[in-house]
Amino acid sequence: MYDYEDGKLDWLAAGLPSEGTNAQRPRAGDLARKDVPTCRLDERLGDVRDRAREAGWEACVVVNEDRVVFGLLRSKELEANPDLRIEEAMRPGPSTFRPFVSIEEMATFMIEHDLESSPVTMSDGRLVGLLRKQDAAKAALELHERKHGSHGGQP
Amino acid sequence: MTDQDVTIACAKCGASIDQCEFCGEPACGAPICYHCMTEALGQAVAHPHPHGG
Amino acid sequence: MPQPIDRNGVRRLVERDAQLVEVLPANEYEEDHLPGAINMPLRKLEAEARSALDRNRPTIVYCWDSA
Repeated sequence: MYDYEDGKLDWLAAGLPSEGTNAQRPRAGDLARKDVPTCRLDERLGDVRDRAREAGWEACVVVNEDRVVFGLLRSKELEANPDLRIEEAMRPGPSTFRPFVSIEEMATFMIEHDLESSPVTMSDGRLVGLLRKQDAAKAALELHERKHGSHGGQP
Repeated sequence: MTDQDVTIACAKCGASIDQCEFCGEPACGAPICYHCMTEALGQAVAHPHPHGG
Repeated sequence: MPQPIDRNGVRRLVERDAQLVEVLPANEYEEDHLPGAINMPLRKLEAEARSALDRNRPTIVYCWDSA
């Protein structure tokens, strides 16, 4: 007999799959974009900005070699002096969210706070992906329409 | 005008905070402290359901 | 006395056909549980374990967290 002492919370916080009614609802980890560009603290902002934009992004997550999140560059930070080091330009210690947080909750918060994007991380701080407000809002709206029926086509 | 630390109040519990823990802004319209945020998002370490064992 | 294991230990044992048992109440189990876990609320564990569990397979029990 074994005792998984850290329990279900530990499992969910690690972004591991689960079963049950909650598992069928979209969550932050499902919609977080895994292809978000990443960069290191000692890179040059201008180089990172060019790389992010070439990939079609206006954001970049600052990580170490283990993909632990140190900071975030959103559109405002990317516009700073291109010769700055990332460590100087980034927004350090951004709020991050666990993969199992419901997309409805995230969408509500992101719209209320007008937050462009949020990193989703595991309990050890490692990056899962970047959740964008537009993706969260779209998913929450689709969920709402599935539950309550869409109102499209009404005069 | 003097430089002073600005503190705001959590919109849920009234606790003094330096910035909204969700968006990181000091002048957010609905600032929230870390405790209230993790509870609202279901990220709280505390068990979400009361039970005896 | 159950032997404590961590997340990686759970994954290794499950690969070797361990049975997972969530001891939380049924409504919590229904919301979320580890893949393949069965539900045996703590107060029923002793009574039902003998009939519901396979003695030839390792058994892993878990709750919400370590509190």
